[in-house]
Amino acid sequence: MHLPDGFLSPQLSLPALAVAAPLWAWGARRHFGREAAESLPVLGTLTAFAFVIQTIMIPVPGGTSTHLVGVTLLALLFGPLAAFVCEGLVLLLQALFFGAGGVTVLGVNALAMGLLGPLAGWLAWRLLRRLSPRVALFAAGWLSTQVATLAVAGVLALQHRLDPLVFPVEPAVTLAAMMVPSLALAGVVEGLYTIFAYSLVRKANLRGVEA
Amino acid sequence: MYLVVLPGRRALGVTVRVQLLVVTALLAHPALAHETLHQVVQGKGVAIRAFESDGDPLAATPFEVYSPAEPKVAWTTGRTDRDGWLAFVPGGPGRWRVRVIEATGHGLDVAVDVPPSAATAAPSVPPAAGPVGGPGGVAFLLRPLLGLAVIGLVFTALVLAWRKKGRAPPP
Repeated sequence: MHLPDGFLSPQLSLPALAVAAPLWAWGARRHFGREAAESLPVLGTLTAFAFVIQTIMIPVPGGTSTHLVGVTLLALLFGPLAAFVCEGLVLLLQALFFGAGGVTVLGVNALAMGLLGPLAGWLAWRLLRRLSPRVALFAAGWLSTQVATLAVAGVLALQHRLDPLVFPVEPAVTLAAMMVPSLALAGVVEGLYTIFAYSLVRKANLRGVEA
Repeated sequence: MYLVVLPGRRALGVTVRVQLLVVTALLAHPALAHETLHQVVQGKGVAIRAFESDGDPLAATPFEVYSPAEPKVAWTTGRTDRDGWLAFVPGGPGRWRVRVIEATGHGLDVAVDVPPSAATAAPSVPPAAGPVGGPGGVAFLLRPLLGLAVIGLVFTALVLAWRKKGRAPPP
């Protein structure tokens, strides 16, 4: 899901950065300021955990692989904007140290995996949590993965339309290659991880996490 | 190849025709030949290995190579092998561009600087390591720890900074 440098032209990567930058600033001010000092240790630990689980590749039949994102949990505990800032940091470090995802496409990757996905998951959780907390958590993780994957596939399809030389793969092929593993495997694992990790954090009754 | 010269006037005409045929065949030899020759030149190519962050190779993945002279038209295309390797022989010096493109949007887009010496003869430059080294290297294994250390550092610095400044005033 991490788009590397060179797969998107500046027509798409620059507007994404322009949208992401003020949101990062707003999120950092709101969730990393003096008022939020108490929640920073938990936020930092869960960000580190998201960084680790995003490096663990789950092999998918057909020769490719997928991975968990893990920031939906942050959205449920601290809000979608906190998740967006933390995912931005994770993606930047992955781009710098791993070559996983690019620096120029940081805005696109962050908006897809850090904002749109967790926001959809957070909304699903808010809607369903009264019906069944576990179903709501699973739905949050699952839907977050689908929305993030669909957003990345959509951007790649748009890039193909704008200039096939930059991204030569047909949109239908990209959509199938990305969505099938996401629907069948990555979303399910993300849903289960969200149930497990959220329950664990709640049971631990950590300081800085709102009840 | 043998030329048979037949005696007699009539035979002479036939001989000339046979000779012409042979000469034509010889001239057209490279195009008509079924023989495929090869030349082994070591140390002239560029080999790149594409792999995931956990060391898994990008096997059988399409790749494109662009020359510095024609950056819009692929110099060559192909697929990586089962270990994620691709190779090409640069036709000249300069900055070559190599793209490995998975349908899922994974892949890489790297520039390879080919020195003039490497473009004309076997290069004497040592093999260049990628930005992260090989999957088995110490640098490769230390990267997750480095990332975690940076995250820890950022959050610890924030906590310490806010503690030093004191608690936030009540709203």
